[in-house]
Amino acid sequence: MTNFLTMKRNIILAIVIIAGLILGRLAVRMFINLMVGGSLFGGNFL
Amino acid sequence: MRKEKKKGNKVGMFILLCVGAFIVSFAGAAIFKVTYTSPELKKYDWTDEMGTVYTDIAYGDGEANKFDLYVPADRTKETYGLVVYLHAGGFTTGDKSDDASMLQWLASKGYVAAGINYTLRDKEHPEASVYSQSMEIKSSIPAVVEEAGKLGYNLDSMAISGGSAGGTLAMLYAYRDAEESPIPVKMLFEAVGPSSFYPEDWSVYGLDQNPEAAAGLFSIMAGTKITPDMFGTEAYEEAIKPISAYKWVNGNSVPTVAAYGVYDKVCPFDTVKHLINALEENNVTHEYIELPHSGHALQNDDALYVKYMQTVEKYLDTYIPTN
Repeated sequence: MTNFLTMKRNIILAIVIIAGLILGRLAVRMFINLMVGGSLFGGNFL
Repeated sequence: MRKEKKKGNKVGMFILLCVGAFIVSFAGAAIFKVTYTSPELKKYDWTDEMGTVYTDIAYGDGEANKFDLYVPADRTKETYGLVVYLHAGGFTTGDKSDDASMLQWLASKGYVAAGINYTLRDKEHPEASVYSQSMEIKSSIPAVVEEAGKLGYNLDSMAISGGSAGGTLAMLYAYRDAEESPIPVKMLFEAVGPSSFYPEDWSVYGLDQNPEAAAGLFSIMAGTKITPDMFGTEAYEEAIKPISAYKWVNGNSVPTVAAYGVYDKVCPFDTVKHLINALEENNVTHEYIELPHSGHALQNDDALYVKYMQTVEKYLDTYIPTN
């Protein structure tokens, strides 16, 4: 397991998880904005 | 050869792990965004011990002329304040039950709270307009006061409120009809309700470029014939005044809390300036909360939405104290 999750892979995995968290939240916001009107990328981005 | 195959398996497994981790974090963040409510807005859970709900009490002949009354459990007071909350839905949809949590919250604070339905403009009621709806609301208030009295809750003052279409109707009652109210109107709170109807402000619908469409829409809303050549004339001002809440604001208008989203494409944000100017020019006590990143649902400025509700609570405590 230690060999499998090398430092490099841990960093990649962390980046993937953070990207998922950001994109998941942003996707909902985009959908709600499209439905009811709002700024897609203005101001408080997330 | 065998070592390389083993290495390839490991890479494949890692890619699968990354894909899985992405899906889980993406879905988790999306679910959290949809379901999370600020702790500042979670103040109670409604129970039968907090009050009683009486539903579908009639106030007129129309099928929609019904209201729900949420009364607090404490029946010991001599008088109570009434808070009316009018539902949203673009004057064409919606129901008083949509606002159950708001009405429960108001009753939990010690108010008699009323959600009132009005005849929606639809295929069955093509004659319904913002004007006719506002007149129905006006006619409902004496019935609400009488019904509350029958239940043992004597009302001595009231606030009126609403969201979107309900906000417009609440403003019309507060600014236009308050003098004829059976009990004094003490304050108004509303969010994202249109209070003015000028084609140039309704550009999100293209009405600034299409006077015929503007005349058509505003005719339906006002319940009276408006023609394109009327725009910019005194005749238009007179025709649209009955549904233009901002035009009824004067020095005696009630304290107001209002919230609007800058990116609102349903109630065009350009309409808001008329209301705020009228409140300021007439020195009406008011709090205007502008949500700079939000549309019609006030959805992207949680802290400011919390501020709106806190301000509403402060105004209620000040102008209709429950003690």
